[in-house]
Amino acid sequence: MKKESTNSLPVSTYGIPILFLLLTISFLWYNYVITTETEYFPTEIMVNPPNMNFKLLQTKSCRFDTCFEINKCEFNQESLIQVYIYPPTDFYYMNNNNNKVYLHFNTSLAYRSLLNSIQQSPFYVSDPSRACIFILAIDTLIDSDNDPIYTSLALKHLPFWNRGINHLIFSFLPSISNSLPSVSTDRAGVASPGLLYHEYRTGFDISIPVYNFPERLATRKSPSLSNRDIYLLIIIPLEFDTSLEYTLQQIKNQDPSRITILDFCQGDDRCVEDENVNYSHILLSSKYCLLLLGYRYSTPDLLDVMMQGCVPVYIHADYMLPFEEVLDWRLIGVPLRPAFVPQILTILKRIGDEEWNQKHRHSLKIWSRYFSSLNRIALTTLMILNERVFPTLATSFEDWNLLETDLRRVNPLLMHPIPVADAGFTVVIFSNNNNNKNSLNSLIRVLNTVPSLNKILIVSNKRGTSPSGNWGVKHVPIELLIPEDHKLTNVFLPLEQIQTECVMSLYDDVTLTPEEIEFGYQAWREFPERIVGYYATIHTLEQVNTTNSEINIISTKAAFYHNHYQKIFTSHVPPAVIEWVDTFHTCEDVAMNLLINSLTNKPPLLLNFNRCQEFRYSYKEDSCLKVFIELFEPLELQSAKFHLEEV
Amino acid sequence: MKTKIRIFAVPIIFTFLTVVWLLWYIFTPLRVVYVHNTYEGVVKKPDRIGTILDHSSSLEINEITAKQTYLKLLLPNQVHIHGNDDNSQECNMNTCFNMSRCLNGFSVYVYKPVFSAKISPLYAKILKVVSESQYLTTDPTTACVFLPPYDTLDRDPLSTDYSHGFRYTLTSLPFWNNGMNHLVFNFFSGTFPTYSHSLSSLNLEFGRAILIKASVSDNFNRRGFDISSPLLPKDFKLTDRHPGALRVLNNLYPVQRKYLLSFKGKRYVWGVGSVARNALSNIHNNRDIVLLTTCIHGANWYKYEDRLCENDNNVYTEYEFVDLMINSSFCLVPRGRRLGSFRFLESLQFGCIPVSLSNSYVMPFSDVIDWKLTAINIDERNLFQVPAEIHSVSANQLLAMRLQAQFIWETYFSSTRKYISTILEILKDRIYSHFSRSYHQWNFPPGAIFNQMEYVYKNNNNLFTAVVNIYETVTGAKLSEKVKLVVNTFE
Repeated sequence: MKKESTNSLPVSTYGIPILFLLLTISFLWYNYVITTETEYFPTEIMVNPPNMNFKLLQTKSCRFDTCFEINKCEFNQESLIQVYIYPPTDFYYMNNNNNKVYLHFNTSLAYRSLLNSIQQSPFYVSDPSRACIFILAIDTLIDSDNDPIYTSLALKHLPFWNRGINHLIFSFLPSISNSLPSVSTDRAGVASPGLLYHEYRTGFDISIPVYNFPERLATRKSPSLSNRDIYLLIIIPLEFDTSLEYTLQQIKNQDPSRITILDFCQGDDRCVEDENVNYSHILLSSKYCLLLLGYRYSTPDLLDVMMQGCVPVYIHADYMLPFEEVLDWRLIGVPLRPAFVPQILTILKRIGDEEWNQKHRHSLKIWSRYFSSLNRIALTTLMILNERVFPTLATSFEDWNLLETDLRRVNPLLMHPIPVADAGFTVVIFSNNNNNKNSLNSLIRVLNTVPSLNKILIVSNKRGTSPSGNWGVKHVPIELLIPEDHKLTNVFLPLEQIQTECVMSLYDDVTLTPEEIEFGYQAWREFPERIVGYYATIHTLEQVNTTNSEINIISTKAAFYHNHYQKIFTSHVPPAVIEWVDTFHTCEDVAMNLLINSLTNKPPLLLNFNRCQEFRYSYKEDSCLKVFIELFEPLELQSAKFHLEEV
Repeated sequence: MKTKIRIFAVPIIFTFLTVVWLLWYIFTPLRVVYVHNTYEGVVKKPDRIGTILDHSSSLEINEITAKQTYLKLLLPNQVHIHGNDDNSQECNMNTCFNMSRCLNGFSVYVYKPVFSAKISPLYAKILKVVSESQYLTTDPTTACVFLPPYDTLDRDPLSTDYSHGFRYTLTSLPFWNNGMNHLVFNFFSGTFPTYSHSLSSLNLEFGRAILIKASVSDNFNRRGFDISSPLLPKDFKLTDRHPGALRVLNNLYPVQRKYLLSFKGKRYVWGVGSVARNALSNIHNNRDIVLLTTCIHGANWYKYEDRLCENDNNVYTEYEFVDLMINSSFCLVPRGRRLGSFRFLESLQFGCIPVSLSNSYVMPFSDVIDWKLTAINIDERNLFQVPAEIHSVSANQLLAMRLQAQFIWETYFSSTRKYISTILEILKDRIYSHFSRSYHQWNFPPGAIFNQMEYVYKNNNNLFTAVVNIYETVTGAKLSEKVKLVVNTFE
């Protein structure tokens, strides 16, 4: 009887791997093929017949952590949220005769423009399964006149509605009589103007402006060049409140020729004392515009005023201003409590011309960047949402408000609250040339007698033998470091061995007395954010159309600076500059000086021991200074005279 | 033997591959991304917003449509409806505050003490500091704001500091006027087990008073009206500043400290606010992230212990609280029963950057302080992203945040007097908003308290006021000599 051949294996042995294979394939299939329902979106959706029992649903307690599913927002390289727009669909219900009754929705041009902007933006995705935010196809803006009850009905039946979670609904105006909004938004976020403080859900809703359709006001006059001495103040009453009339007249009487009160006449024309005026021109001729924004901030006048460069004086009340989440309106206009309206002229006079100028220019910049088109309003709204979802990559206050970066935020040394402790300093001796070994030894002998010296590091950049030997009976710790390559920027490597706050960069061909070195260290302690040195070179930039500028560079062959700059040199100096220094083997001191200057806006300190040297580089030669200044942008070089003398 | 191996080799390989694949599939959503910056740039970062906003749209609106839409927007004859004042949630500075009292300047009136009322040491300090303020007035008819003599700090009925039968006591104050222009301080409200943050949980009739409250929830905060306060420790000093750790220990450097992130505190295991701290052990690695919790709280803690308690309680004593704080770059500040915690101010004082895990918490003085400059706020649901987030903070940023933490602590929180001054200056900026201080004045040295805007806006624009700050520097020269030097220079 033949034994069963060992080659015929039982079924289960092959069955198990095949089973696993099938499982794997089915997982992959499910994951990558079936779940993308991109192609399929219903052209018609059936809704329940509308009935009398309509309940307005808006979850007041919704916040980002309770009504927003952050898991839907996948992280990507540029950290942009994925925004999906519903395709246009028809909605119908079955009436008693079993006929289809279609709901009719208008789409205004404004809303179409909004959707178009979003669709062409980098946020848009066409696949709803990847969507982080959902935008409606149904127009919820006021000029579409869509019935809110029908709109609410349709929303409930959208395929991805899910009670409105992760949806964003745009609204240009809130309803006047009831609390906002008249559409049942349930748990959706709302982007609307005029939200009152107690209606606005912080971190969830977004306050947008009332778009002012700038084409209405188009003039050939430039807002920044117009003559604004005609009026000091234009008062624009936006609410019809007779109690104010008296107060406003009182104000006007204080300076009748320079204050005027605008009013409405027939249609949309504006009048001054029943005479028509050109609204656009009059805004160009005044410095300040007082906006008596009413209970609901519901008109585009705020943006009109900004666009024409008239500094808005707005009533500081309990409604959200446009993009208040990120914009500081105190930089744009003057907030005024109603109780102080009678004192407005005194206040405006105290503010002064310079500050007016700042606010005037700022309004124009902000209007142009965030409010000048529906496209910008829509995309700014999405940017604000973006920063809620990905907060670590959020833009700073200064960038949102187009301010210059405050260096104190960027350079910690400018915020040093306490004097630097007297903990001593570390010397980094850069041994680059094939100098006499004796000069190095004598230098170290001198250094040994400096009281505040903590440690000596020798960075030996030269090819060949390294220094060694006795440097004295008792000496401070000495370490020898030999970098792998022979780059000049090795002198500024972020060495772990430097444990003091103060670093002295020294080249081995320098001669200094111990008293001079100690004085230099103590001087540095008073100005730890600057570079303090013994040798300066004057570089002259001969420029074509402006006066020549002279720049003092403290040579790093003998200079004190903070360890922080040593640590960030490689990460904060533009790579092109480092490459230049290593290629041409010069100008490393210029690089360090420019780094420190860009982070402090302060000049370096020269210790006056009469060791000044003059080098003149003209603009025509490709001097490193000219090249570096262009790479280190922005750089404001100012002239300053400052030196320290030992007394 | 060989054939046996061959028989089992194939299924084993398949199993191994499938297991590997399954593990990858399961853990992919949790994959954390470390963001490393190589070249950080000097000052300017690329303008991300500008790049996106400059994307132009192809659909333009013509003038006719614009005009038609604009006509719809004009509603000049709207009725001016004021907010419903009876609902305290809608209180704001225009409806629940009488500005006309403040037209001639800011002043505070402190009621005479009522001897029968129980006052905690902390509230006594608050009363004393306000009484010594430059804004004090003894004339209640001209005062802008009022400070009640009754201690409302602890309104938790289960607390020993709670005063019973107190609910309507404030309304009996002679100038109460339904609470308008009054300041009511509160640190603890709500009680076991719900620890509600709603305004009614104060068990206090406060009318239209401004609440200066700790543990403020976004859902119940009256924006622009209430002030979010930190939780002050009971032994808070009156006027001497508690120095920041940097000043005492001089430990600004090295930048990277022994521990990256640390926490040591109670864990409630169940009930309100327990979710955040229960999950901490998942990211504790006993190396650079040290998060210690103990289940021991109160008398009957063992009734609610879970399976992690025994180990947690044992490990708890291995590290010392202050030692952890001093040697950590970041300090975790998760919510407890209430949204705020003492730990927030403690981290600031220690120069340890607070990482706040407290959803809907309104940070102290957030109207004026930009906390993004010194603290990190992470959604409680994103606990597992905390290590990645703190790793992505560069050394330079860490240093800047550490210094900012010390600056904010010393300027606004380092003594009762600083705390009260900050509150009074915030109120001033709210009332006199036309002359309010800027973002940079609040968030950078020397801080907003030293900037008195009345002197900034004078009538003659050609003169200026020079404010000279004289600090002790390294040389140790006498203060009087330095003043002489300054005076001589300007003569």
